[in-house]
Amino acid sequence: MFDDEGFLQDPNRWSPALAKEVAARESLVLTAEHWEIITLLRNYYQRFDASPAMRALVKYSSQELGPEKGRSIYLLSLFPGSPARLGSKIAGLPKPHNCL
Amino acid sequence: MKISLLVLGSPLAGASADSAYHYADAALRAGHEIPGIFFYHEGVYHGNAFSAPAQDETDRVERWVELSRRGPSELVLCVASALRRGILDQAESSRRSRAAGNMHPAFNLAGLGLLVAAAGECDRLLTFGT
Amino acid sequence: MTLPGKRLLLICRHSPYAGQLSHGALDFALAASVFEQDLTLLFMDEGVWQLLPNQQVDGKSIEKTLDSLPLYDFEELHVDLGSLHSRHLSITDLRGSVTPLSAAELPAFLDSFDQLISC
Repeated sequence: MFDDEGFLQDPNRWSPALAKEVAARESLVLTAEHWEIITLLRNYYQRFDASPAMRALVKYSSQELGPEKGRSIYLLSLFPGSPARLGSKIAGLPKPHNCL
Repeated sequence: MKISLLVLGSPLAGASADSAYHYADAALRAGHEIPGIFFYHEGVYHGNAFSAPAQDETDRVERWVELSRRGPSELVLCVASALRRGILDQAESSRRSRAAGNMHPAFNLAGLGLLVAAAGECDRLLTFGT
Repeated sequence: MTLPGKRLLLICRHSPYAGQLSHGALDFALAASVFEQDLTLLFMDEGVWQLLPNQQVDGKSIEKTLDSLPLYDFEELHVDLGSLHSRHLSITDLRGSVTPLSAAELPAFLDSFDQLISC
């Protein structure tokens, strides 16, 4: 069901319950703030056919949720390390394929 | 001069990749540096160590390998292009449970960032193939 | 990570759905943005078809990738007018935020970049 890096093999099988499971494996308990970004990531994928790189995620968050939340430091506080990658993993998006 | 090459064409489809090789060969002989040769798109087939041309045909993989030693020039396959086309190194092959790795060990798999970096660092970046 | 500043021009010359290169070129643009390179996009030859709005496709949509470019700080796209006209297209057929370049303007435009990458 998951690849060796923990990404969902088939994005269609994603569910909120599965997101919690993936998050738990990353030692994260999902709060309302997490869910806001997870929803944002899933919308991003719908609109742009791709998982965002960090730069695009920051800008998109700012555009959609306001400048307070469109900041690296805010996203890092929710998804430590690499917010775009970790967030995408939990949101059931494919691993960014252009291997930046 | 520091020159980098971007090779988009497969070894057997047309002459663009042959032109890339002859250009690189001539540039090295003329004393230029070729730090990196990037194989993108169909160009990644140049890294297929399993290709076995007939005796009276040019071995286009070996030819790059020989040139890279002479350079020295790094031979880089775009990882996304390569995996999509079934060119896998040993590590990717075991990660994805494939029967064997077929990438020639003289090549490396890397992301597009390396090509971006090369574009920023070299004096010329030449594209071969469409 | 900041790399030595060069002005790069990516020339997108491939039809959107006739192979992988149209996507490959835009992937390069996204990578350049992530590595904070100064990159500009020019659409030429068959590549101008990428700029048509309302694309309906089964696979990955070039249009959606183009939609994401402002989030990677590409606000402006350029198109070669000659390529448009020889295909009986005009600038009004295209998506917004595309700057046309005439045959007279093109040479100086190309000359203003340090590197051209054609995909």
